[in-house]
Amino acid sequence: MARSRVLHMLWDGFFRPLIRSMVFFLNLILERQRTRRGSILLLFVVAIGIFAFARGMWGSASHLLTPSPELKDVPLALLFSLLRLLAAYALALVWTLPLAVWVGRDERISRRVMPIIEVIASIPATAFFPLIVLTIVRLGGDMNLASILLVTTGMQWYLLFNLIAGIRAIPEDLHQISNSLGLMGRTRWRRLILPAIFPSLVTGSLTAIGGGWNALVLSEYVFAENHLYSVNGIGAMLARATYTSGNLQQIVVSISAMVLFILIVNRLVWQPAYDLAQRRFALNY
Amino acid sequence: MTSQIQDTSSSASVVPESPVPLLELREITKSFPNRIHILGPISLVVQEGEFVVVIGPSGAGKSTLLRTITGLTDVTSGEVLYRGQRISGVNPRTALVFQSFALFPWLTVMENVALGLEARGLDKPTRYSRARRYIDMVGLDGYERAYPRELSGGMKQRVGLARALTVEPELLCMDEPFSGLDALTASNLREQLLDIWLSKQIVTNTIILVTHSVEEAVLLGDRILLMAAAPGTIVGDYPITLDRPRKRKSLQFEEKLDELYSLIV
Repeated sequence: MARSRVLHMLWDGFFRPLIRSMVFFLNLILERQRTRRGSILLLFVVAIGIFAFARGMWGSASHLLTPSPELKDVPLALLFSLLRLLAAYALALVWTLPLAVWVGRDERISRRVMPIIEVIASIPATAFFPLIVLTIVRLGGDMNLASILLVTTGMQWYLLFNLIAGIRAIPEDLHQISNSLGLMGRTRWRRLILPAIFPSLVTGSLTAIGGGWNALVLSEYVFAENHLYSVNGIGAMLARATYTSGNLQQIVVSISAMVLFILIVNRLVWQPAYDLAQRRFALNY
Repeated sequence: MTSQIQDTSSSASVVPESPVPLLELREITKSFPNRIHILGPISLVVQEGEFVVVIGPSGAGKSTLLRTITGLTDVTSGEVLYRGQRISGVNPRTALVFQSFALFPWLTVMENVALGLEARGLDKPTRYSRARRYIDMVGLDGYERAYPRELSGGMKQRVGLARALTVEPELLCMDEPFSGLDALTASNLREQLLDIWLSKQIVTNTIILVTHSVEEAVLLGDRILLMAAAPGTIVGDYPITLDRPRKRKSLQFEEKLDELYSLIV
């Protein structure tokens, strides 16, 4: 009897408001986020945050409330991770864009090359992370480079497949008129290809960056041959807190910082880019 | 059978004065890489100053013929001669107008029209002043900064026409330019095209226009080429000697129309 009353009080006083605020928050995100993948990613991250939070409440509430000295490192770690992410994005774009143009334009090349790309893309790169790190370190590279390359593996396919779809969506008559007018080289890129693929570039980048944040956790903190290779970053911070120190506060704070940051970037960068793509660069007129 | 057809098409050329024709097709054929034979053999001579209308059922290879003439598509065999010179690749003295308009949605009217000049490396003031001339000519002044999605179908095709004229081609090729428009708009634009062509305001004096409308053919052409499908060949070459401007309701026009209909059916 007493026990059920306690549960009742807990339900009314704590869980119900918690669930209500969760639903409110999720609705807010779903309304604001225009792309499905973006919102799924956010839902996922938020769900993890809430799960960790709930577990923390259940377990050691007092432990959570004492600030740990690691917290002041969060902003710098976030910045380093962002720079790594941008480098990985640039790297992914540099090779996927020309390949997408080559594959997407010619139906015969596409028929031959696409199956190969699909097989390579289906290899789970995360399984080879230790191997990649060891190889790079042995070749004289440092962990920062290795980490960037690992993040690239988590981004490149989103970009590649979106860009190929974008190239394929360019209407044949636009290619023909470009040929007829003699639009070649740089002018053709500037006037035809880049504007035409802008919408798919935005979608691809949005999903790639999402995948990149995801890969970051695994890329900044790698165990290989009984040795820990790690760099200063939000992903490493999160991984360390989860796998070694078990610092719940650290987990909650790093996840929240990441979520907040992703939300801000989506708001300031991707949403305007997406609106611009719809307004100016849509292929139907 | 095909050799007979070639004979009718090449011997029926009506303007004999020029020794070297503007355009000559010699036994051209076109097959796709999967070896499906879609066009030819076709032999054809077009003299400078002619308005040639190509008519035929859909699938007769009219568009393909136009694209081999402009050099957008290469021929499988045979030769395309332009002023006696063999052409390979896109012929820069031709321009093409599309049924689908083929405008760049992210470029303004001005940028679309000036695109051919940009491709030729002209500086911005030069290409904009030249483009403005043709924008005015097709009646789009005031719309230089509009985007294609803000224009009606007729206005879009005016942009397509202005873009083609801006590169000042000697030979203008038009692929069903009025088929995507409503009857009234199409009729207006047809009149305007004839006005521009007849008033000699433009360098372009030779036009090849593809259509599936017999009436449009009789209204516009000096000469009508009739095509048949599978594979696309020219099966008839008829001169139209009616005075311009042609009146749709006149007796001669009606007679010519009936005559052509009977030939086609």
